Amino acid sequence: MGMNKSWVRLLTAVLSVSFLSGCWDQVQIEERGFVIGVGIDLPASKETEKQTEREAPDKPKGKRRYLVTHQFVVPGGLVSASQGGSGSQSSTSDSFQNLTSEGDSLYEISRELAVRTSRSPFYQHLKVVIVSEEVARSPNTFADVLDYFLRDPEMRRSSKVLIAKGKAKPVLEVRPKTEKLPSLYINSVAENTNQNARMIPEVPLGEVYEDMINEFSFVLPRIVAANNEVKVAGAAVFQGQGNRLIGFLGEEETEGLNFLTGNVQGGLLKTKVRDNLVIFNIKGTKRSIQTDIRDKKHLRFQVFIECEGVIAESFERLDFMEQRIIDNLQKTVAAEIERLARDAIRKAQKQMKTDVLGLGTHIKQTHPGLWKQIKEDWDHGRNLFASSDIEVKAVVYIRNGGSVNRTEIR
Amino acid sequence: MNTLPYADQKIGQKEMVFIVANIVIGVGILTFPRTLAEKTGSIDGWISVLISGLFASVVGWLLGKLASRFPAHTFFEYTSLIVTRPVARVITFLVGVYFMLFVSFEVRALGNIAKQYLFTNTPVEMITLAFLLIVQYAVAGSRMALLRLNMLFFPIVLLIIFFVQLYTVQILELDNIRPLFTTGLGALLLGSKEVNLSFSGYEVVLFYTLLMARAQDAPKAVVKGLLIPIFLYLTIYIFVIGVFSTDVVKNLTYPTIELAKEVEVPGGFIERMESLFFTIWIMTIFNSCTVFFDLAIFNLGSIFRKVRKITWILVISPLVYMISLWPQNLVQFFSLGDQLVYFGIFITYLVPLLLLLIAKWRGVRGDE
Amino acid sequence: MFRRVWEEWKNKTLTSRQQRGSQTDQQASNKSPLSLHLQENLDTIKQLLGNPQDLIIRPFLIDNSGRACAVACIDGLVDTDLVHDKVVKHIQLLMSPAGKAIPASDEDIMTFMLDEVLSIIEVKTGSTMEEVLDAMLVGDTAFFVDGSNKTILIDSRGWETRGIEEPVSEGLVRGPRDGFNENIRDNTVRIRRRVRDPKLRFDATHVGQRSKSDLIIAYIEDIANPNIVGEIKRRIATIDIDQVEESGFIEQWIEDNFLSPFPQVQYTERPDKVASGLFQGRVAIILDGTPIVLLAPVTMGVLLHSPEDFYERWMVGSLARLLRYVASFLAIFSPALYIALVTFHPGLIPSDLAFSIAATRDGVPFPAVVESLIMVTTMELLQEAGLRLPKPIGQTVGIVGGLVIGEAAVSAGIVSPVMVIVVAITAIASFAIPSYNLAIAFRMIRFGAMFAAAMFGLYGVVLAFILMVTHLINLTSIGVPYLTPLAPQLVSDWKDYILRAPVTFFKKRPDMLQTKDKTRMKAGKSQ
Repeated sequence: MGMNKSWVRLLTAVLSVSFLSGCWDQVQIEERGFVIGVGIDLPASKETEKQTEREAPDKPKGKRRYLVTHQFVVPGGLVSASQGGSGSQSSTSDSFQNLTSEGDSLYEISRELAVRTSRSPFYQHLKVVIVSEEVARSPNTFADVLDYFLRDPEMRRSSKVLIAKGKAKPVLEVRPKTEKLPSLYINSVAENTNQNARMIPEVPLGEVYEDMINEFSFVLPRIVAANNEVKVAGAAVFQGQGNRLIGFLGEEETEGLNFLTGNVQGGLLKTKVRDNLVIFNIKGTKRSIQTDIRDKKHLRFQVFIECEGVIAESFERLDFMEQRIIDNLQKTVAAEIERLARDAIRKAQKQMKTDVLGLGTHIKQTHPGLWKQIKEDWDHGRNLFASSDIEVKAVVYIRNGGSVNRTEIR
Repeated sequence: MNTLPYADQKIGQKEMVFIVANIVIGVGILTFPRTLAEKTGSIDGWISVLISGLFASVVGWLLGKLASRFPAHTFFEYTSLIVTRPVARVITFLVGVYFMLFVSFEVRALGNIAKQYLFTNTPVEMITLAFLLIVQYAVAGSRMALLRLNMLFFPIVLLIIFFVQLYTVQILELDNIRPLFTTGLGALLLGSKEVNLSFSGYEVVLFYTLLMARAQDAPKAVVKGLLIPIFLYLTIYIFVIGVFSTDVVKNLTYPTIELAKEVEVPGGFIERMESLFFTIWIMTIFNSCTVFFDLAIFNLGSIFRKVRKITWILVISPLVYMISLWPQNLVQFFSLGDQLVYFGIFITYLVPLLLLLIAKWRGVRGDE
Repeated sequence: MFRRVWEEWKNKTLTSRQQRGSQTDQQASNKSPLSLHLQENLDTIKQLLGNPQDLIIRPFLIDNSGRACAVACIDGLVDTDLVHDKVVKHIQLLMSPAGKAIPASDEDIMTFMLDEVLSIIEVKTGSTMEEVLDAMLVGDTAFFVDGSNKTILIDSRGWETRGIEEPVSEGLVRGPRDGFNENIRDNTVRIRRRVRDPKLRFDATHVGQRSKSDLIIAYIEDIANPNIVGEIKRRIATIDIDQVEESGFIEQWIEDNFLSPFPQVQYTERPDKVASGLFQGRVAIILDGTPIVLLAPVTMGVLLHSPEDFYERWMVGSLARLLRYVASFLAIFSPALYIALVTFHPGLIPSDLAFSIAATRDGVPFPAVVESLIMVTTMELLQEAGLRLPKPIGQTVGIVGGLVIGEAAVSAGIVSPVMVIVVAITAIASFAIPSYNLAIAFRMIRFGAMFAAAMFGLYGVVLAFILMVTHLINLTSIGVPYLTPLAPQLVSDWKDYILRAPVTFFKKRPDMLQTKDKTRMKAGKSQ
């Protein structure tokens, strides 16, 4: 039975494979260091750099050094906090741990952490990447710091990227009352776009990659930390050429930008009727653009914004059952939208000279031939964007006045 | 051993359709959007998919014609009838070698992707070895069972693609798809050449028509079988471009898997779909591998009749394994793939088409 | 390649066994004839049986004639009342009926007894000692008359049997309550009562060189495919063992692949299941002495069906079936998936859950593989222990297992609570599988899947799945592919596969068994 012998041999091979292989990739879940947030800063002092230079003068060196903060979950802390100390650890233990390390490569820093913590970093649950203003402002650095996060297949494309006004580290150090993990807290705050028009929609890592690869300029959400709270409002404007941070749009301007790009899902608009406030609750917007490309030097754009919503609050006792009043109110709200939009245009077009309004994209889609000609001179070079003419027209539909008409008779 | 006639029955047209579809899809679908986007530079690559699909259908139909001329002969037998026995021996041997190399390629492709998306430390040698052992087991079984496996796994695979598309349709950005029709014909043709490489595999019809109950259905079956991958390639390409935009796709190693990475199941029931997607995708790769392995044995076995199937398996497996470990990196691997496909185009498309011409000219025909 | 070796080996052994079988037949033909002297015959019986305590020999005289005669039987196997009333009493008090004289000749007296005296339905004559012994050992009574070398063998079988009870291993909420018992006659009755078809065939044979157990191959002649019946008969004919205790021996002898973990013959103790099997064109094998009746051929789908699927309305039946397919998957793969997800791909688990699993596993000393092995093995032990113990103690085992092992293991930090949930799901899922032998197969495969997962994570699980399917697709039961109607695809049979169509849809019998009579309804005939 020669056949049987070959089988025995095969079986032995299989068995030895199974016993030898054992545990290449086996890492117990409790031994993983779940990294949920990463903050990237530039180092404040040159001390570590000098020290490294002394130790190994010939070592290849990057142009820039980074100070990277990793936020690790401490699972034991999560449980003991919720179950009142049934775990073996002390119940006062934190549910997260921030480790900061300096180096000129993000991968190097990540590996260095393994020396400092018992749990090697594991990025598959990475929720937020926070890049400091400083890092983003330096040319090409933004793409450099994200390279590792995009290249490693372990990373997820849905991690959100936010730009910190100031340093990134303090953002990861806030201790919110509602959530145990700062990164998860930031993550859910950044998702509240349908509540407020002053933040731009969350931008996942995968989308940032698209933005960086494409020639267009783009915006990322801005985050500010203060008093154990964060505020995700405003927008960081990136120039498509070099993917460099140009500046920030304030909250009002961001709102205007959102109207111009059609990204408002919710939020409010304040208007004044006879010295009293009337608050309009936005339920949705639609945007369309018309272009006039006869003169390449002075392209003309007309942005139409359609917005619908309901009345949220009214300090002026208006009769919302009357069409005339509604019509007037609609016009007032429309004027407010146009004001916001114009403010945003002024900032983007005149000050920053950077097209974050999506006009370049629009030309590319509707007039691909023209786009090929002006591509190089759009919002850099001769900057045709800055010299183009942008008009805004808003239409508002008030769908209803709420459950009651007037709260008191005056 | 079988008591019932259908247990060993010949395969019908439906089976052939599924086999062709399953084999064609293989690993090509995971990478083709990248090469296609590189060549065409826009969404217009879908035209290239159509062109190459049409081309493949025509060639497939002709191959089916050739095979159905000889409903009861193996490839070696009818090649011997058309050209002489020694020539046939050379051709069949090369075909056997081609399929053997193809198994190596697929095994390595699986190892590479698994290594990238599922493992970090496990050596690629072990990943491929485990897989190859199971392929061996399947090939050692009956040929009919092996073909039936195709029927079994294919719906699962279709389902997972459908699932991925269902959940990525909401992040599809029309901005990325416009503008249409901006690519020149030259670029489109170049692109279709690239997609053509991903369409290879339908040559199985040359060998399995023998097993068909009605051999005259073979040409029809190939074309029908190709319709499924054509449709899938079209939708996958549109989805990938729509989700990522052309410039990004050019820079993604495995765009289709990255597409799966974008899926977020509502309710957060499971995250990181791409691992799951690829895991299920292994079934397709398994199917193509077993069929190619079987064809290698089938062809080599038809030249050397005395050698038993089991001997072939034991001889070929180590070879396949060693060749699969040959490429040192991804670049070498992809270029090996390309060279292999060119070899395949020569030996499984051009040569059989030539055979068909000669057969027509000489009026050679197999007995019904 | 395995299959091939096995088949070669099997063929070899089968032929040699068949040759041996024919030799024994020749030996058996040298039989010892009965003697003319009564006492001599009785002595021979005593001697051959070793004069056991339960041997009853009752010599007496025929009324009026004074001729000596005797009955011999085995105590306990015979209905003594019947022997007394219908044999001994009749002969002792023999009144010559209608004035006929009791014949004096040796030949005639036997015929006379048969024709006129013994008012029993089943009698036959015998002339050799072997026949006498065989008959006595199954409960017949042998009647001898001095001076005749013939004997009358009276069917007086009557022993204590278990009553007809509800099948223990296959309970149903809705459906008949009767089950088979150990008496083959009772069992055939249960089948006949359900299949009043003149074409129902009970082909009887004996298996076991020494135990000589009765075996009946039941099928409906104009439904069952003759190839299948023939193949089963051929395989049963090759059985060559001295003793057959239970139908499991038959199953193991006739199955296609003894290396497969999957059962290739179905067993049941429900007559309704057997009857419906017969109507589908399958073959039942009934062995005396066991309530377990075999049904062959069988497919994976059939093993996952329960008669209740048909007794309940079709929606209920379909959902129950769907649930069972899910249960099969969970029973095999849930511990493996746990291992794969927790040790290889924590990225697939939603973040919050991943963190809390990590938290609960904090302090568990073993890797997830060992943890699962501990728990799954414990569960197997519990299951095995609960099975062997008498019912009241069995419940204690459940309490000890559930409470002590589950709760205590967690608080002792040996396993994590999530693991306990996984094991519980696995156990419940495997109980939901209607065929116990299939559930056992799944339990075996579960360990394989766990090892694969421990080695390669999800990749390993998928390889295990592929391996399992590849094996199943090559497997046959009496030549019928195991995964029919999925592969080979018989779309017309899908009505009764994963889902169960309304009964009015079943115009034809399942195609997979290639029955002779293909239609079930008159309406189907016209098609």
